[in-house]
Amino acid sequence: MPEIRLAGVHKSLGGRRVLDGLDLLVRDGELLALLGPSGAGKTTMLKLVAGLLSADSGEVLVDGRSVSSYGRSPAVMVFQDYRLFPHMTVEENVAFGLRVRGQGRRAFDAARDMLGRLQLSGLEGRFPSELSGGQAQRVALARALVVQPEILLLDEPFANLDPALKEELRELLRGMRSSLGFTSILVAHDQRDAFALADRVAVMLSGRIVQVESPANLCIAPAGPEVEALVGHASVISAVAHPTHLDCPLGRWPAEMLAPQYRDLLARATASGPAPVRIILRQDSICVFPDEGGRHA
Amino acid sequence: MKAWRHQGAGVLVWMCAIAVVLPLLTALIASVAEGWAWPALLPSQLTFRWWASDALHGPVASALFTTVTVALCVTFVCALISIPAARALALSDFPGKHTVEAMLLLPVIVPPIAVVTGMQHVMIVLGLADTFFGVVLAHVVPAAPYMLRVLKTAYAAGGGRLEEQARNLGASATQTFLRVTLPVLAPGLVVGGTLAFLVSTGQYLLTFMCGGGRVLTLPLLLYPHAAAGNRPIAAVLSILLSVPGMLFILAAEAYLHRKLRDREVYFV
Repeated sequence: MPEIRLAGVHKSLGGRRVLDGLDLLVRDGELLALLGPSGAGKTTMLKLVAGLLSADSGEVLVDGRSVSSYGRSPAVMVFQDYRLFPHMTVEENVAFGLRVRGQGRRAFDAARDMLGRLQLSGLEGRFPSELSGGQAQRVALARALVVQPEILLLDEPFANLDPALKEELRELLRGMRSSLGFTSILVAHDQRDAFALADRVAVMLSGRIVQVESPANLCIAPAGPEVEALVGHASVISAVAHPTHLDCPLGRWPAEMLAPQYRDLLARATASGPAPVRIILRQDSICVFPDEGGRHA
Repeated sequence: MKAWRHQGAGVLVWMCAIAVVLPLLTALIASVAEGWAWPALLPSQLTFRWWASDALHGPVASALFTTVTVALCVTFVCALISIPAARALALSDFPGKHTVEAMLLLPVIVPPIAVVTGMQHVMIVLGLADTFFGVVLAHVVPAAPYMLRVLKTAYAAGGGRLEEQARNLGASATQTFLRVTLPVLAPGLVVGGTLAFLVSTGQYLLTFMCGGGRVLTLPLLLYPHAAAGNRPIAAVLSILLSVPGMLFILAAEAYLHRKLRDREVYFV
């Protein structure tokens, strides 16, 4: 799994400076989320790593080699608008990358296998116009994963999906990551998507990386008011983790309350017994209502 | 209110259809008319003798063949030059882009009579005057802008994004063009090709001046009869001239109806 390094990257598009001396390191096997407002340059950065654009100056390196020196880019990108080929069926779309690599019959077998893993069996013969948003997003993901990329670039993969579908896609991505193994950069507009999946989060403002941290540290110590505005205010509570629950000043919280990735973390942390943990309460996860008739909100 | 608007739209559509069909209907009646003079609405007698006239023997079949062959060649050449031109106009930024685009679309605005003498001179200089290929090139000038407009719209709407995705998945430039670009552009090529074909089949002045009478198409046969007031023969030739275009349109419509599952996706 390769390492990605961007050093001093400048890029202008349409007369506007989009990337302004960007420096970033993505470690091998890591999933790095790129967080930032619209127009910060996130998609442009992904396209540079994918080799679809060239930097005006600076270096974009994959495993120490310039991206432009690769005959075929090691990075596959899943775009926000899916970009499924409208004249091809789902199966043909997914098999496309392997077919252009000369894999012939095997391409369709691999495509059907990947569609099954992403719970898309039965849709092989459909055309993109016949798919829902969630299905189209998963087909785009299947098309990228079937070629077994060393680097997976995801440009706002959860946009236009409802919360249930988002969680489903996050679970699928976690599963794929652990079974296939790749370095990944995920562009997210919503910090919840970034925090749910990323090993580290990079905050991008005006074409520069201003902070790279684990999700927890980013919440606890944002580097400045702009980052805090992006991430949202958070409070930190100390707690003791047990295999089935958390004990904290707010009471006993059963493990079922936690998102799947935190349940996994709980299980690992308490393998040898109870363990101290920190709970981060984020602004958007707290809802307050008036107390009516003795009922507590 | 909505019902009135629907009915009004329906009336307009019928009026347009009648405006299109009526001249053809008139030609059809004139081609079988015996003694049809004003103020009679319909001819006094019908006859098929004009269809068997000596004036139509010999040259008509070969003229029809030449008309169709020239038009098909024109359509092909238009596609060859319009695909890269449309891609450049839709996806690239270069100095003078808007000027270039205006120049490419000028033939739609400037009538052929204004440029035909100059075009004939160019053909003579190039050694293409009075040749089949010279006539094809001359027809490309008024026909290409129509295909260019359609393909530019297709590229601007999404063709570039799909090419980008294909390249990112590992396809070479050739693979991208054959497997993605061409199929996505196909409906646009059919629509633009239909327009180019129709523009070519109807050309008289360019064919006459650049073909020198040696490249004989149906309009060249038709015009002398029309100018001489020989209505029945002119009517027969008009109908014959309409047939290739109508067949082309029917084939194009059948293809588009079968292929287009989502008109938004195919940008036509």
